[in-house]
Amino acid sequence: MSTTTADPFTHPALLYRDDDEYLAGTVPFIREGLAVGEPVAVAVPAANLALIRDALGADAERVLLRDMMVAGRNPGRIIPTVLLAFANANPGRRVRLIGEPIWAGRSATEYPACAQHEALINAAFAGRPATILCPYNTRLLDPVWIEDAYKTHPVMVDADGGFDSVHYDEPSVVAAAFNLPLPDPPPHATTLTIDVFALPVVRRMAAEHAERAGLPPQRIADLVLAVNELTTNTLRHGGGTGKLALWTDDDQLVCQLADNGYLSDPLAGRIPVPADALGGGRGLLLVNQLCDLVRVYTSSAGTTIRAYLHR
Amino acid sequence: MWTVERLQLGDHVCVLVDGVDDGLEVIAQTVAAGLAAGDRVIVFTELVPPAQVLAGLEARDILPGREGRAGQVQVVSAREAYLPAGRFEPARLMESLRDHVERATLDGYPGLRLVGDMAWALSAPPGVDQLAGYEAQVNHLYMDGRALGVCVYDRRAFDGDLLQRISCAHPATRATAVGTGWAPLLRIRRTSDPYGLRLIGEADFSSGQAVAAAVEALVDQQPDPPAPIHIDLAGLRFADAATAALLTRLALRTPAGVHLFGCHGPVARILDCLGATGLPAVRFSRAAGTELIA
Repeated sequence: MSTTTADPFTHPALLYRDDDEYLAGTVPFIREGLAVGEPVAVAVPAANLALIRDALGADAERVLLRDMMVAGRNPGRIIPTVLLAFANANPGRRVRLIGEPIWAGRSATEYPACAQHEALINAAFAGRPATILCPYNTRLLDPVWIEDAYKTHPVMVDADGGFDSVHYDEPSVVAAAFNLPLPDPPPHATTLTIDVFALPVVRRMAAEHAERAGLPPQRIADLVLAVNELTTNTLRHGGGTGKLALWTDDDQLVCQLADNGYLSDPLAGRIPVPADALGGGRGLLLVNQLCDLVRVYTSSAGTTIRAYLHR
Repeated sequence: MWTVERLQLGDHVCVLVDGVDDGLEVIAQTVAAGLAAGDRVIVFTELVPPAQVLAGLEARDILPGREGRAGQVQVVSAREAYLPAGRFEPARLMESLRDHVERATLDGYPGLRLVGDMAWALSAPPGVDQLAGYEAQVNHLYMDGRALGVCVYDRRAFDGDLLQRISCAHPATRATAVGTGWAPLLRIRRTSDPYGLRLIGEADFSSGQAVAAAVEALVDQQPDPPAPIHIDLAGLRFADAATAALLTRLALRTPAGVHLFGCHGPVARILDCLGATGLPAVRFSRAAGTELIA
């Protein structure tokens, strides 16, 4: 399936093999946007950001440049805090972005969330006037990841030009393929069955856990806020009770909430909520902002959400 | 065993008990603390007749007739107080509670302590579906700091979902028997100069409806001409996303905005994350000299 011409949103993947191909695929794309007066943002890993900045020269000042390894460390927050944040900051205007969420250092734990993110961009931006170009390094990335890029992008661009991807599929279908069961928490995990009265206990456990792991005060606060929101979601949507698990891996803290609810909206936690909006929808958004990775497995049997914070 | 010594005027606490004896113990401690503070105490009893409550107090060596003034401790039928016309009418009940507060002041008491066995709601009287909403609304009365309320619910008798909704309408719930040192998780106080609200403790889902009702009262009763609503958060150790969103929305719907005062730790962090601190309608002051402490 390819996009219909009516959709003002376009989402090409750029397949590149080296720095020259990278610059040939990105810099003219940026300059074209500047020439027609579109706001342009570039969120790519630091080394590639430096390449683009140098190539743009004085024009670099006209482009919002962000290190994706920081802004998009957690792929779950790229749509709300990088892509939609930029589009919403330029209301009524067509925007142009380069987003490179997948780099060679992405771990096997991170990758399913990255692929879901790429698929869900199509759902989050459907009908919006925007172009988002996603570079993929075909030399360094796992070939399977490149195959996936054909499923998450309606259009592909390589050194020879652009073409429609025959493998492109519905965002929800592609995202669902990465809705994968998570391995059990390790035996040394601290666990607690939660109810509405457990919230202060949950926060104290999270704080103590983060202190033992040597996190600085602000990151301790971040873990406490994230665990509290995950627990609150379980109380509100997950049948009022669930199971919390907290543990530390080599280089990260992990907290997990498992409950009997079903998370039906794949865009949950990815759409910014206006400050004056009634109702909820901010919990998962906040967890995405605060944490370095969020993995979700949801089915009719229940939902497990696992949030990671690097030490 | 529960100690009420840390309750203050302005508190509104939900206490979950296991059976009648546990409930009577909570009532007895509330009466004892009220006598010690010189406050008036009104006990609303349901399953235990008033005479038997007085006997229970006496058995615990709590003797209102000897220790207190005449009329300082009143034990009345909860059914008659809560269902005067056979049905539960929150507005009428609130009015009657306000009268009790006024009367206590006129009679020279520093405060009024209300402790009620809520078992009357189990007989499904008409209007009882408004109970959780009433428990949220009645925070308007307590947050002025002239009265405190202790609502006793038997966890064995009430439905679990209803109890969760009821407890979230209180700033604090004592859910399990605890030893000394228990204090309410959240305290809500109205302030008059500057006009606003003071939140002390931790604000989360378990007090969400109480905070929402308190904020509504602030908007409804805003003085004229409007001045920024002052929200004193210096004593607030934690706020969840829903609380932060509620305060942000308050800023956007009041003509002069809000002043969020004394923010620190996770409270400052979450307001930052939700974009509240960048809004023109929000004046934001961090607590001086505080570090981020979880």
